Amino acid sequence: MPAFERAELTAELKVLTSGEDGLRGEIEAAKTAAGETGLAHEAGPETMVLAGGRREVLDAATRVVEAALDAGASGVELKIEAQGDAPRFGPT
Amino acid sequence: MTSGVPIGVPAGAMPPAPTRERPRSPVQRPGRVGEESARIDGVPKVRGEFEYSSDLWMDGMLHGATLRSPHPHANIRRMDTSEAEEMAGVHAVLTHEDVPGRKVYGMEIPDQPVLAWERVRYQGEPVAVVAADHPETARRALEKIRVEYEVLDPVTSAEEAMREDAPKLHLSGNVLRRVKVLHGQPAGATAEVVVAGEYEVGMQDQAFLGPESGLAVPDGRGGVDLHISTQWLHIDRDQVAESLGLAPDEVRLTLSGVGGAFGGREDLSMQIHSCMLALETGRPVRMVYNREESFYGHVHRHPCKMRFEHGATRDGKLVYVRAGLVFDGGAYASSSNAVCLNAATFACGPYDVPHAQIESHMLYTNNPPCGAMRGFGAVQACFAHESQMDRLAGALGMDPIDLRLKNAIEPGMRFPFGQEVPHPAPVREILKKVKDVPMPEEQELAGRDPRELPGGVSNVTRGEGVKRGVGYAVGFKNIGFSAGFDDYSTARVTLAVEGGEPLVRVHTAAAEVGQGLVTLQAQIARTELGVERVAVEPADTRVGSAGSTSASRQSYVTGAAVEGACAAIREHLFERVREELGGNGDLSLDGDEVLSEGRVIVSLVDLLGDEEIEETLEYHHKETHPLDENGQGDAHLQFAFAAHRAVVEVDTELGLVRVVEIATAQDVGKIMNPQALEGQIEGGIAQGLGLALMEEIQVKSGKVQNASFTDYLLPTILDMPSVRMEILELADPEAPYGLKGVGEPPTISSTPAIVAALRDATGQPLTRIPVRPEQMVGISSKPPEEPPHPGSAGYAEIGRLDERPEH
Amino acid sequence: MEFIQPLNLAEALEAKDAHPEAVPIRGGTDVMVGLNFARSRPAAVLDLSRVEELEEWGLEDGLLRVGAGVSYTRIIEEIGGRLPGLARASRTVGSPQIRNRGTVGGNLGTASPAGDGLPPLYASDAEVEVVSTRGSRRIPVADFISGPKRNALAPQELISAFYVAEAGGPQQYSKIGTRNAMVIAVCAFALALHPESGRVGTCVGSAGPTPLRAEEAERFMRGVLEEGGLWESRGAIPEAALRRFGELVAGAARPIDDVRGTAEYRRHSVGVLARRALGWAWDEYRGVRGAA
Ligand SMILES: Cc1cc2nc3c(=O)[nH]c(=O)nc-3n(C[C@H](O)[C@H](O)[C@H](O)COP(=O)(O)OP(=O)(O)OC[C@H]3O[C@@H](n4cnc5c(N)ncnc54)[C@H](O)[C@@H]3O)c2cc1C
Repeated sequence: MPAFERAELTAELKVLTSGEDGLRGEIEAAKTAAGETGLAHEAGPETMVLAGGRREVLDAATRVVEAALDAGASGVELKIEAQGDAPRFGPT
Repeated sequence: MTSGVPIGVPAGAMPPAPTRERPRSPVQRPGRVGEESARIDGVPKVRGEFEYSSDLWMDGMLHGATLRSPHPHANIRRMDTSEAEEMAGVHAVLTHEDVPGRKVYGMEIPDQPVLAWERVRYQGEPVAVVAADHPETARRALEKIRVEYEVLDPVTSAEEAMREDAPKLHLSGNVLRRVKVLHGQPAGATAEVVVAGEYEVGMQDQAFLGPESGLAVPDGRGGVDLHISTQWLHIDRDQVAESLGLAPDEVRLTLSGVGGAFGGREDLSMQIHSCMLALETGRPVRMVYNREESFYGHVHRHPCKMRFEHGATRDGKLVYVRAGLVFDGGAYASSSNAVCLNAATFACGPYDVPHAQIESHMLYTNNPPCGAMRGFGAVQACFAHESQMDRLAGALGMDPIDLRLKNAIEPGMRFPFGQEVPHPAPVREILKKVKDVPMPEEQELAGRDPRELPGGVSNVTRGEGVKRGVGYAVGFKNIGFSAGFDDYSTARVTLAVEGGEPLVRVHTAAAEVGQGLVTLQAQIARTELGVERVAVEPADTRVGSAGSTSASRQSYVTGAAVEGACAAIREHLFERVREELGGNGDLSLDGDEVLSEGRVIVSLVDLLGDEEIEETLEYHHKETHPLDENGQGDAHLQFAFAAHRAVVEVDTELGLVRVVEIATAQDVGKIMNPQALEGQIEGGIAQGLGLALMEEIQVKSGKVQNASFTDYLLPTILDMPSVRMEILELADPEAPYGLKGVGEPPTISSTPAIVAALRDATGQPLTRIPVRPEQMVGISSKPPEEPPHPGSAGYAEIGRLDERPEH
Repeated sequence: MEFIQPLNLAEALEAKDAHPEAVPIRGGTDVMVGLNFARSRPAAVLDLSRVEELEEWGLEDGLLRVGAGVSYTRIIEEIGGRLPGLARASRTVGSPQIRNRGTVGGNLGTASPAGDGLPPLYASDAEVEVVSTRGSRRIPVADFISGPKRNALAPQELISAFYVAEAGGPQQYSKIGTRNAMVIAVCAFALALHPESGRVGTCVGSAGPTPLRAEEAERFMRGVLEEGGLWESRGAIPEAALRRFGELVAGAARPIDDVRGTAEYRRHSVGVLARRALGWAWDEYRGVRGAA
């Protein structure tokens, strides 16, 4: 993602719900877990993005995936992007 | 009697895949660097012949329009676009579901929905877009889109957003950024004289005159060309491509005529929307915001509340500064992060402060999003630190200039954020200069032309109640992007014989937003290559990024890129000369000829023949570094300093003001183009004057009260005084030609200088800007409890999204 | 939207009769703002800019009759000597472009409490002439303006002119705005001295739902001038009386808080303006040099 301040790693997570519309429980659980990591923002109705240093993003992504699965999500699409030129976060 | 035809004639049949001709680049005969060089777009602009982005036109194009949330905070329950889609003349109605790629965008943090899905977080947030064959049809179609909102209580201030029980506006809460700067031992610091104050800055708008506008043209192969007014083509391109789900090279941007920017065009407005509509309909789509929509269409300057405490010795040496700054970032991140950092690093002003503790907070609220505007965090901080210096001078019984001179920072010292003060840093010199400018003569009040009295043509005084006041301020600003960002620009320069004469073509993606960069690029090429004729190509994404036209950086960074590319061409030429003509010694270029030891040895026409020499150069400025957790680091590239003296006359009974004169001293490193420099200084001061006296977006309960130029007041020619300038040219050894960025410093300290002068005239504390007449006459200016009801004082419903008649 | 462009007054009245919903437009400086902001979307617009009768002004039975289509610029240039208060007010309107297009007729049509053309008409007891195919009637301006942005015009009627006496004494108009030109009034004050009848005409603008006459202040000052025989002696008005006059004018205001200013400030400043304006006008009446 273009940015003034690039994150070393970004993880985009999309929660796949099992059922019909309105089964927002899985998504809410994932969003709450994402919010608690302090790295998250929303990127769509079922999507959130985590941005930060490599370690913290990977840890956070695990937690969000777990929260979604625990709440009954049928899956989570995960896309991770590394930014080569992100000196802001230094080597981790 | 003539009876007219209805407006809204249906457009004709669809033409074949249209393309827009690449705008031509006119040939200039610029002066050299440092010489007066008239801007090439000056005359067309004055004549009304210049093509701004709002003038873009293509046969068969459709007109886009945007549906915006009337509520500052609401859940979207349901949205029904069917009625709008069925309207004759409507070609597309798109919502968040139609965003092909990433549904959010943002320069620092992509947290802003292209089109809102479940929730809207500010009044004016885009919810749906429409393309139709006539602008009015598009407008009417918006009214046919049914959106069911569940209205939520808005979070209307940064303080409210900080509270534990405040609703969370984003997943990770309401704190967007916190920057702490710790310097020396602030915790235990005590001082003989202590002054504390609270200051507030209202929400200023960039108020550029050319509204957000552009034209998106589908290329028939899935890609799109966008003609747009913006400050940074490549960051727009990347964000647009990301949200369209296209590769960057499938989205090509060309800069269109920009009618002012001032930071307000760094963020996207209609870029993605117009491209979505163009790709959906297969037709060119033009979008042009109107004045009211423009107020909702771009970010504003951050409102800020600041608490400062200054400690000093009895003889006026600063001991410590403690400060807390709280910024209202509004609903989305924009460039708030960097503003927060800037404010923290500039909070102490250009002074030697042994101990400092600064905390700068940036909060999400349901107010309009705020972001970049000329001065970028330094403006708010400067109002506070300069007000504090005056307060301290008062407490010490010292002359305000003497106090500043005594504490002025010098090269070799350290800023509170740890960076060494580079040479030159002429704080003392500019203070002395501005003080030494002769005072404007005090004219007799009686018998004056009313335009030379407070109130101007409104005929309120013939001298009654009028008092004169004088105030000083000094400020500084970082030039270029900071804190570790790889800030660069790309220039492609070609030299060839065209029409029997050598012609240099300069191609960059740097946005000309009115500051005169097109002229400057030509001047540099002329200087470096000694060629009379230069053509600056339209800025577009066919060449590499030039970075943003912001942070007063383009003369420096793109200037250096053009200089470097020209130097490479020159080297190439010299090599040829040495090879072919055996020339040796000191080669130079001038008057379209190559000289050796000052004697012409070959003309460029003969030397070049049919050959075209092309060089592309990417200039990366010196590395900067992020701040550590104590706010320490070599964060900034270059610092530019300016000082201002304001002389005002206030009708102290009515609180009306005439600014008599502004004197300024500014170090610019090198005067590149005298007229362009004067323009930046005068314009920047006008914007600073606006913030001091009148410019504020008034927001109540998350709603904008004055989205029009009827009530968002900009200074007129009768409000703006003449400016006396003292320009210093102390070269920065690292910058091209020694130059320093000049765009922002005039805006920064002009505001506090004017407010200081108002205090001098009225004796009132004036801790909030813009200063209102109420404050100057000592009537509390509590903001209005209720929005004005229509007709209350006339025209009040203009510019009020929430007061639109229901359709 | 239908666009109707009559070429004379008779055609205009017929058109208005046939299309009572049509919105008249003369200078367009209010109507076009409404259209551009999508505030109003009239089914029909009746363009009065070709109706020459509205452009005329002259003396009629000892009164000035000024056509509704006379622009502010023309008022300043052509009638300024006869109506100095209205001319002063006209100078404060907008910018040169707005003064070239905008008209007092349009100001009456809009009936904004901030309309700068209105207070001078109140202070001089002007009457508004309205016409329809059924005839014409003359309405005192204070009755014509019936509320905020409301007037007494019937759907089939147009404003044709206003009637006002030529100034018999000094007149003033002062306006508060937060910048020094091109600004909608925060509040305003108009004053007309009527030496022939011994009266002092006043009007407060933009500090109430409509322009408001400060009747108590008028009575007070009439009394002061009479009692002191000042009309005849051309002596100075005592400072205390000027101040009291200002207070009474401030008391007549019925201001509100809004984006442009607080109620308290409006009340305060209109009082200051009244005191100053009366001082200037009286100096002029007395023949003090430089007072006009
Ligand atoms: C930038 C700007 C600045 C302004 N500044 C000021 C200012 O400082 N002070 C101020 O008072 N106003 C100001 N205005 C408002 C406006 O210029 C005035 O109200 C002006 O007097 C309107 O005149 P007009 O001829 O343009 O009216 P129009 O816009 O043509 O019409 C205004 C209203 O009157 C009606 N109308 C017009 N003529 C007739 C008629 N003959 N019969 C019946 N109805 C009629 C119209 O239907 C409409 O309702 C400003 C406007 C702008 C755009």
